Amino acid sequence: MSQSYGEALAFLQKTSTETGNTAFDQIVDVVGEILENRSADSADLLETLLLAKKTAFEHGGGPIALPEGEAAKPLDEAQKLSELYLAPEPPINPETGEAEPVDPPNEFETEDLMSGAALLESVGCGLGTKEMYNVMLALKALGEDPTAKVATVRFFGKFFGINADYYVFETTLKEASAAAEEMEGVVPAEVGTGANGFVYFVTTNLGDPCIKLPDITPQQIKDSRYIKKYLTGDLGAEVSAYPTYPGKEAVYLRAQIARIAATTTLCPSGCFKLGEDDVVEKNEEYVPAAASAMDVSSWCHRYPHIKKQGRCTVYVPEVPEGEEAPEPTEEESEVGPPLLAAISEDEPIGETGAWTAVTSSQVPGIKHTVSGVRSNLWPGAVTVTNGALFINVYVGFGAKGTPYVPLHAPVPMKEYDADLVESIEIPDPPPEEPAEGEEEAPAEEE
Amino acid sequence: MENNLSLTLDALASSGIVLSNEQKSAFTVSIPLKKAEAALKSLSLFGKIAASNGKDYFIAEGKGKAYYFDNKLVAETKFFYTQDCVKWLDLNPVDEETSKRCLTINTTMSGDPSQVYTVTEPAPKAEGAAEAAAEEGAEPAAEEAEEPAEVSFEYTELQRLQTMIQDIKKDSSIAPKGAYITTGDNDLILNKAFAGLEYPEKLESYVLAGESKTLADGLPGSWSLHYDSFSSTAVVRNLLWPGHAFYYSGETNSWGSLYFGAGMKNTEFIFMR
Repeated sequence: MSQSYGEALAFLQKTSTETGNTAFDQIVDVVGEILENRSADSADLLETLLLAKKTAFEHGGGPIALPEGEAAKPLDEAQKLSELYLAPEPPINPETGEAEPVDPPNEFETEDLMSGAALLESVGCGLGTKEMYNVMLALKALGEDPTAKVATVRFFGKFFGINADYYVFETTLKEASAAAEEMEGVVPAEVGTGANGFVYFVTTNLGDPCIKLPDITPQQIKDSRYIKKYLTGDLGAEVSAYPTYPGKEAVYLRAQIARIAATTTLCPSGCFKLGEDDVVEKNEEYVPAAASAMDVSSWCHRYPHIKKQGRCTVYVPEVPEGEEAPEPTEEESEVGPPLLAAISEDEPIGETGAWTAVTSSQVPGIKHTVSGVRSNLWPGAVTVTNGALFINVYVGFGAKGTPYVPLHAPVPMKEYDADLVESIEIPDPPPEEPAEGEEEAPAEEE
Repeated sequence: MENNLSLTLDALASSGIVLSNEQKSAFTVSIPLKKAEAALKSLSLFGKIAASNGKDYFIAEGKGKAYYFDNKLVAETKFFYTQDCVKWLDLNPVDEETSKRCLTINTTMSGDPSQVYTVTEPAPKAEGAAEAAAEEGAEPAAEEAEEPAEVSFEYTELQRLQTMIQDIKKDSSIAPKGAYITTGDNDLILNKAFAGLEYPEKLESYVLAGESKTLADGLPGSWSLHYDSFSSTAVVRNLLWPGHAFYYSGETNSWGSLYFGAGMKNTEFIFMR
């Protein structure tokens, strides 16, 4: 009896390959429903229920919950983002139960990002106001961070990665970083100027603490020019490319930032001037032009140009006294464009100009328009102004817009020089002393 | 089958797909106007092709009335373009030869629809082929010459534009798996019973519409999927066509995609991934 019951149960519990249901579950549902209702016309109800069951649409019911570990991450990220909207709460000392004293927020300067975001949105660039507001809050958190000690912060842009995106902030620090050790025969990195004039912080999630990117060396910039890669979103990821890149993704990202910043950070012509010793300073007499009157010719580069050597100022190794200076190499003799060079002088990309003018309105005669330029060399870089305020931002993949020419594979190494080999015949084993060979052979097998 | 433009823009703004205020406002008027004018069943924004003079092309995809042809239901798909966001003009379909040659041009669009591009290619060997080329309105290098070294063809920017769109469309019409079903007449229709994706974080959940292939079956690594399980929104970026992004929201069970780019396929993909 119990055996046939077991068999029947097993039969009813067979899963249908089509719907994934079992007859048992269906019967349980129907019987449960009848017992719950306990109505007088149970027999009729049974019939209706079976029919309803058969015709009911089983819907998937949306996303299946992720495993616990994976589900917790976005929740945690959203939590951190929401904390940006609140005043930071001081940590509680677990022993006394009182709030611990915290360092006062760091004083910093920044541009008006939300007004800038409105300008960007009016020309159809940037990230949209909602995300920009979160960026602004993250920027504030970075500025106020007493450990980062930044003097100025600017939102540099967003770099798309395959698995995560980087938000990049450009800062100057109150305390200058120490100079790296110079290595013999290597072009030294610029410290606090040129390609390292700013310190960059990145985060893949607004609300998370920002990570400081390392300073860049000329060689790392030079090597980044040979490759074109999608970023992955993981700073520690290997940059798998040929030629081999000397560093992880953090370094490659920093190199791309240096190149993009040098090429696409602009200011209206006349806004800055060259002071003594070629220092870029604010032009107090500058009168902003109306945005509607601005075009590609109204903008100039704000940051110095990075030379072939990977530095903004060419480094020529010092010659010991008494020795004749060697002929400067091609890299060492590069002049490059002057500071604050007009962007209209930039080299075109084939037949296309390096910059394209953008405007907030095609309707003629509209007052208070916003205008700007977008880069064709680094697609995603844009600078806009309404006359009074201007803002630079980069939103893109961190890849140059020019066709990529991969470097040739190295020439295969030469085969050994056959002529130098005395004989290509395998020498016969020495016929004498066979006893020794026999002794050695088993020893090798072991 | 119309995309909800506001939802799409909301979801894709973080991928740099943003319309200017003027464009957004103008489209709310001009797209429905064009839809009524051209008697279309649906008309939705397809994307933007950047032009180097700043007068970008906006493209809209219209679906006309479906009709029976050869015992098959055929829905007309038409593309329209505008540069001022108001006047939508027709884009005429191009033949295969034209599109093949247009794809060899790899400069950015100029922004002038009448711009003419010249494609030169080695002259075909067979005589019949040369005649065919002459019929197409191209100038054979020399009619009298025994063997012209090369022949050139002239194409307008609009022909290029249409080619680009056809090419993008091929690789980018994504839909959640199960969202569309084919009827007995081989017509692809929206599945009203589609209740949402179970695994929106997987490439296997998205299909290239009209095909049974999922995104995971395509070129490996050509899609970048970001899934936020907190807002149950997935954003899929196309790495072969940088600038094309698709979103799917599990919360509203909506999806959409836009292409904002230069209109050129990333032929360097193999080095970049």
